[in-house]
Amino acid sequence: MTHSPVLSEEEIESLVHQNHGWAESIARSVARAWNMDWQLDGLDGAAMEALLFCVRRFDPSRGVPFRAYARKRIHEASSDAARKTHSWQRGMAGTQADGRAREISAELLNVFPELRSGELPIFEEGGEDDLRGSIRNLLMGANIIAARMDGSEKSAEEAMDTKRTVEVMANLDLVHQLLLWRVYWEGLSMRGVADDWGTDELNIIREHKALLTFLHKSISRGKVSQVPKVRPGLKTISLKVKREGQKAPFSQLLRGATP
Amino acid sequence: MGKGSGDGKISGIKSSAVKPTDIAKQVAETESVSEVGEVAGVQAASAVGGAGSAGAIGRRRPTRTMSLEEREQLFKMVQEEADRLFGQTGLSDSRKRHVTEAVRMAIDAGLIPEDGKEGAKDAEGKKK
Repeated sequence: MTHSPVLSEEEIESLVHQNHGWAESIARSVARAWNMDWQLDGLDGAAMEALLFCVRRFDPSRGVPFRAYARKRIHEASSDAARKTHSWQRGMAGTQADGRAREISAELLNVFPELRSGELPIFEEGGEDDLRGSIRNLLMGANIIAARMDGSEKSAEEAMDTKRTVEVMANLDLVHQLLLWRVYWEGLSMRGVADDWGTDELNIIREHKALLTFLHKSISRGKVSQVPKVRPGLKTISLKVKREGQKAPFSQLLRGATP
Repeated sequence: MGKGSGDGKISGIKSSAVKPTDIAKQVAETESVSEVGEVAGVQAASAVGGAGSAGAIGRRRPTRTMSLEEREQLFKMVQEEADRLFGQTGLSDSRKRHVTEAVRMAIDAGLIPEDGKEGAKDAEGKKK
């Protein structure tokens, strides 16, 4: 399906010229983070393709600056290209530990898409505590992703790590377990979960943050912290999933059942 | 009576001396309070605008913009918070290593030079 460009050919050419170096810098950042070669691994081509795609679709009348509109898309194209390379798939770029960390980080970018725009997801207050809180949430998000990945591994050590994390998550309310399951195990975006549940995305984002904070407290202290209550924004969903008889996925996982 | 009205003169001097002093004190106090209030107000407003609204038009997620200049500081914070998180958990060293490195990578992948300028040493993609 073709899409008629909003801009004239001259404007398109000018926009590409203005943003060519910027798009390349996004590809280079992705390559730098994952210890890859931005040109040999083809990230430059993916970034340029995405730039052209965005330029042809860009509509200035919407009031969003071009770079704000295009950055996430160019970043996604670069990271997708990186994941398709032989070096990524064979785990050749760096050590085996690097390979696992890269896999986790790639998924972390999907759970926290604001990172692609060079932004940290924060709480409302601001300040250094908030910055650290944001980093703690990223660490906990990465730990959950690692738990899911390690669930299929044979190493006893990794299996124990996963069990410890799942044990804490199994204490959560049904709707909270389902939220984490859908985001981390099924790969849905928070907007996707919100759409499925017919609620506002902000409800899901806030609940997710509260859950990560709980998990961080519980895991760092080695004992289960006070379980978060379901907020008003998710009460209706909570009642609905209970009425439907949905099973708590992490409780089931602990019992050895398939959720 | 001329000089005999000394009491009146003295009290007159007293009253005229007190009033201006009181007024001057009040002015000084008001000015200093308003100055402090203005500075604090401007700092808070610019911080909020830079972090949330300007960089994230149409988005409702609260965010904070990172810069390439604070890369090392952010990495240091990641390491410190990871040390705290994994300090008493009993989770393995390999899990700690993977998770810490993954967060560093995810942050790093989002950091680009200001305005896409090239030449920043850290911005170069490495050859494996």
